[in-house]
Amino acid sequence: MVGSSSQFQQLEKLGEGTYATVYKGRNRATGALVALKEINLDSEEGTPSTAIREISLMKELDYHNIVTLYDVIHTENKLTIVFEYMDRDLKRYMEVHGNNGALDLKTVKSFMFQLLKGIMFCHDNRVLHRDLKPQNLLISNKGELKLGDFGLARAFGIPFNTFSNEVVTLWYRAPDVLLGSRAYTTSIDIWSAGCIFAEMCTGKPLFPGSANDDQLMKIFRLMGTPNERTWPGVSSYPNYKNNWQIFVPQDLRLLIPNLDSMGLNLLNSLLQMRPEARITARQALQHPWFHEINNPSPLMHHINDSQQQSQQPPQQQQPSNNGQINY
Amino acid sequence: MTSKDNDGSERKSSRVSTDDLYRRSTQFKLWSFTKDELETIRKSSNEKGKTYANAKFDKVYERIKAEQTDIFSKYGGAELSKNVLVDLITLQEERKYLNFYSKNIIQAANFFQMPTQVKASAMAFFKRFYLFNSVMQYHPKYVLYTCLFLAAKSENYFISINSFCEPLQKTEPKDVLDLEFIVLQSLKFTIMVHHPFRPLYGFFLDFQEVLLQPSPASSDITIDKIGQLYDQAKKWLNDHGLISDVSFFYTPPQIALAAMYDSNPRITEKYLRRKFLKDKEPLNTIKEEEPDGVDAQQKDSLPPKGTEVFDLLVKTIRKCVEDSKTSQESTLEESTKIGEKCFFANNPEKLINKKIKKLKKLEAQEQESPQEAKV
Repeated sequence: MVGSSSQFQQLEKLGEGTYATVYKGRNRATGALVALKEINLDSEEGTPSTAIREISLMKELDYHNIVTLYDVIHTENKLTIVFEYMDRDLKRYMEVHGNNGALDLKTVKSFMFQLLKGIMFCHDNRVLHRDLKPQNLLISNKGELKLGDFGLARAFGIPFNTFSNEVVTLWYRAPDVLLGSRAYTTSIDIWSAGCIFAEMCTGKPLFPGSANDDQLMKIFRLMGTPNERTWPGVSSYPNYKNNWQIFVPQDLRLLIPNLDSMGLNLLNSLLQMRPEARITARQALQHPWFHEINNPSPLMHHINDSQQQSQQPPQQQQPSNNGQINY
Repeated sequence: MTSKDNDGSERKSSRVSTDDLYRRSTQFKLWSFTKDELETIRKSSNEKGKTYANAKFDKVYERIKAEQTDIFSKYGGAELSKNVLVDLITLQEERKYLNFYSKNIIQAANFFQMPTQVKASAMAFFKRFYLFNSVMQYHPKYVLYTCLFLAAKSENYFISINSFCEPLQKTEPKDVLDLEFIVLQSLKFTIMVHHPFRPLYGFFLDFQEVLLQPSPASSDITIDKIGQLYDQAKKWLNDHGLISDVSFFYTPPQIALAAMYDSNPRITEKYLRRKFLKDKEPLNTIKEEEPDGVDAQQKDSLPPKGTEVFDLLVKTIRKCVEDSKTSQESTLEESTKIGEKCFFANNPEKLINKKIKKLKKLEAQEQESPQEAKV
């Protein structure tokens, strides 16, 4: 399957990143929509290593809740990665469908479940996303959520200009990372998932910090200022200060009154300050809040059906016994 | 060791085994073969290469023939006939030639002091590339550098194209980069490669656990001895694992175990016995980063237990050791000869012109000699 760029009609620009521009495209033969990530090959070094690594990862991550890489096309001076097209990102979805950005709980639950499944798949495959945020979560008209943008650049950006501080957002960054931890683990993606969970419920970012310290203060204000008693070892982080303003933990219920107590319990498990105390994606998916998804009643069947059908992208061969996990 | 819960219960909450992960990998799905499959693929690529070289030859041949009618009218049926001129590379020669070039990858990687991971990935790229391409289409010299440069990128080991080409003889950045996409395409854009080095380290740790705890399995098995075994096995992977075809037939943990087995069969077998025969522990308790994955290649088999696992494993490992040593060796002389054929297959114009030159020279000599005789 060797594609040529003439195979696709280039439509409007979807976003721009540090090493690529993303366009909407249409397959001339089938009419199907795709996302075309165009990478300039002007560099003297050939294909940028960021693109190589993104292709490398995406080829392995063949999963329903992760955007599919269809093909890579080479033309004279550019490389185009052809991705599955998704209608919009979560940020845009909340703007369009939310009540002042806030989504109804049924949608939040479905999106959280799919987000955690995508994260679990990454983590099972030893991949950290590291940059989970509403702009990198892509939503189809069928209500599917998929993780996108595994490169450094934001692939499926927002089709309009945003404030520059959003582009390098710290909002979803875990406190241990803000404190200077270099031991990145899967728990950093879990923190981001917690932030996104709260944001879907309220329509507002949970910790909209403007700089590293401000980001930490916003977190402390809600979660409480950590100390050696609440977080053994916190004082040995590079960015630890012993003169932080002391905040006591707040009740998340007050901030997110519309979320039921089971949901708050899950949120709390995701937003643990200590990285090792954070729940794993696998555990989170077993949380009682997801009971109705894990044990579908007849009413839920249509959701499951649509998920089953699109379990495998059409172009991929399904090998026997490939160890796909089903729920 | 399909550690998917052997009793089938609790499937939901079980963690995904490394075996399952391996089955999902493109390495398993696209780059694992039976020996027959591999042979068939190579045969057809060699045929494809010959067809390609023949077509290339014909085109050039017709042109030169039209340009130099004199000499062709004289020798076209004999010395300059296609049958005499063309000498293409056989499947076996191709295998030998590639084996010869594989060693250059190791040399080049060592020269640049690249990490093992880069070296091993470059080797995998090179071997995978020539499953579906022939040396008669792409000369291995540049392909090998492109593979190495690409592996450095994919494994996050930065080296600029200029500093990469500088020490290489007669190699310009363009030579390396022009092939980059062709290589990527032949690799089907799957560039994540799983190597036996990590599982080997996992086994190194597990050997200590299994053989030394709670007390040494036998008095002569010490931590030093296991360390020695680890070093020998690493060397084995470099000497036999990388170059041979085993990565197409076996999973990385199987190859790692083969490396250990061939380095010290006694200790390795003792480990396997303790692990699978004496241990009554269910197999899915095997720790991460290690033994599971060993039977991922047995696509259809159900998870076996105890003795069966042990027997199958030992059989598989022994076979892997055997296969690792059947690579196509060639002498320098042989390689030079194949190299010449390869050069002319890629450059038919030079082949024909060389022959014409030779014939003309002969003619000139013949014309001169009678005159000389007169004097």
